[in-house]
Amino acid sequence: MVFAHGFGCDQSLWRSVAPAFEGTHQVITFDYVGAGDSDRSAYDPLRYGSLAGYASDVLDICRALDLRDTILVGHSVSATIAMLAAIAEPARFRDLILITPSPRYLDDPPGYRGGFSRADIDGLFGMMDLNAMGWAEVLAPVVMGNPDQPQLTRQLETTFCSIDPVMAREFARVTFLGDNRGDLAAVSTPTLIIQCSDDAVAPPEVGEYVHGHLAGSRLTTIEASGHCPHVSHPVETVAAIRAYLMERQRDPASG
Amino acid sequence: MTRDLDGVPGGVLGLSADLHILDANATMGDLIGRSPSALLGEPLDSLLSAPSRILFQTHVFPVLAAHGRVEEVFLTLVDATGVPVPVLLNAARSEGPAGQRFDVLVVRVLARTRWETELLAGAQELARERAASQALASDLQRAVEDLSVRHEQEQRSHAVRDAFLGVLSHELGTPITTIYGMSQLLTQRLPMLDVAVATEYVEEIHAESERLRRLMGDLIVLSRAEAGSMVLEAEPVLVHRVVSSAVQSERARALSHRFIIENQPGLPLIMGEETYLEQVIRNYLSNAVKYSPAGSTILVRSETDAGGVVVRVLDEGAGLGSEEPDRLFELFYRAPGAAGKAPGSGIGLFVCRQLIEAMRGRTWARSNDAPNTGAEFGFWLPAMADLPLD
Repeated sequence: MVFAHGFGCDQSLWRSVAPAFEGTHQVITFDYVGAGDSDRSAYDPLRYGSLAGYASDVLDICRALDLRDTILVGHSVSATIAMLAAIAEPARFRDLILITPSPRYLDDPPGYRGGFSRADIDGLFGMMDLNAMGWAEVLAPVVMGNPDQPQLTRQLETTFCSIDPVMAREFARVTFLGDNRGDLAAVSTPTLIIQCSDDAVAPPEVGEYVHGHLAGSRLTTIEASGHCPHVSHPVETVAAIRAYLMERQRDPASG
Repeated sequence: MTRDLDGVPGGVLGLSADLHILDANATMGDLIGRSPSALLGEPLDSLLSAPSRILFQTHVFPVLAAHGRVEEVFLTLVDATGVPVPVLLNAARSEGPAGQRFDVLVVRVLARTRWETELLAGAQELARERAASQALASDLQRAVEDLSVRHEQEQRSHAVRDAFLGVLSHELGTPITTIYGMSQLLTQRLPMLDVAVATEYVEEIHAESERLRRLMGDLIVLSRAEAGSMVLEAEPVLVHRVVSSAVQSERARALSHRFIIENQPGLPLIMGEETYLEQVIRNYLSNAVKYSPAGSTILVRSETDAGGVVVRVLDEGAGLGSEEPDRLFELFYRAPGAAGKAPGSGIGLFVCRQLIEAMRGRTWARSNDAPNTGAEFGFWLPAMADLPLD
């Protein structure tokens, strides 16, 4: 079972969910390049200029560990990344578990409501800038010129979780401006979608949309508000995943 | 909320574990133009602008849940009339009687945000300008490199011109001096000369004229190659016929050497221009004569190979020594040992390569395996059937 973290934090967010499966599964959590303890020198702006680069990371991990029959759990933008990985190498994945997925955050009137306008997303970028991400970019050369001030770099990086601020901006761009609705139909892996009844980032109707366009998918709604049920409601999240896996075990053809 | 907190100069909020408002002080209500009691039970999201909702859910809440506190987060609330209110937010998790809750403190940062926004925009502009000037500097660097490459090319072409003038004065000068001298002798002393001696003079004049004629032929090809207009006629050519004709004419010039022709039967036709093919073979042959001792044998072997015809001219001279074979085909290049041994322009082999490549073939030179057992100069041309139709 591979757990892929979403935009905004690192693998530490799986701490209340992933261990619940250690008795029955080989559990793997990881940080994307730029998050957590990842090697930041491995950051390649070209590779991470699209979600496909992140999907390649997931596949690289699966190949390196020679994983088969993999259950890939992705939160938020990693739900989309998980779909891209499963489309690229369907044979490697047994199930996808998509937690609060959204294939497109921007509204696309009249047919689609992602929840946000372009102005909202630009506002987010501006807000990230004022929360150190923008300053980090501007100050990076200064910091690099002052190797005797490592605390400045660290301070910038630890404002939120432990994401590199410059990489976070780029991740935000590919996450919130992307449109992966067209990829839903290409997913052939059995999929469970977990959504929250009240999610400001991925509203329930987006979960319904994913469910409607991803053939043979299951949808479980957790009575909760927020975008991170694995953090706010770990017990319910574990229960939803377990119920799905048990059902799949009883009837492997379902999904 | 106790009365004490109402007077605190900052908004105070209590949130349930699922981020619904449990209590709010009066300052909080004032900040967003709503009554504190009207906020009770509302989700926190309803106070946040859309970008702030994303930032809160993706960045703030995970840290708050994981580490129990966040500090100095910049967010915008929305007041009752929809106007954004920029704030700094601190929050901490605590255990209340009813379970987990979050205590939140917000302070309006209107003026500060304005300065920071302007400062940041300025800093970003500066960073962009810095990047632009770096790009400009690297453009400049590239231009300087281009210029120095061009300068080098110019120097090379000057060197080529100097070599050309040197070759012309020597290669033209020697035969002309001979022709001039011999013909003058013949004119002044013909009646007194023995017929055998006179015949020798005439033969000498003929040989030197032939040398000039060949040099002229090479120079014409050279000028076409330099002008980039090396397009030859393409007609079917029987290689062994051309070889035989070239050897015949060379044999007449170089009585000091023995020539042997070995043709594999059934050689395919090639496409090319016969005159130029003969020029190549004759250049190879005269080269072999120049660099191998009198009395030795020169073998011309033609055979089928790799979908084409290979012609090799093999001599019994000293071989190429340590010379890089490909350099021999450079214009005006003369092997260090060769310059003193025999006259030459450094044009012939260059011309050979140009001509063969114009016929879509390739050329090479190599020493025979054992030392001092001679050199091989060869070319390969594609068979007619293998040539793409164009």
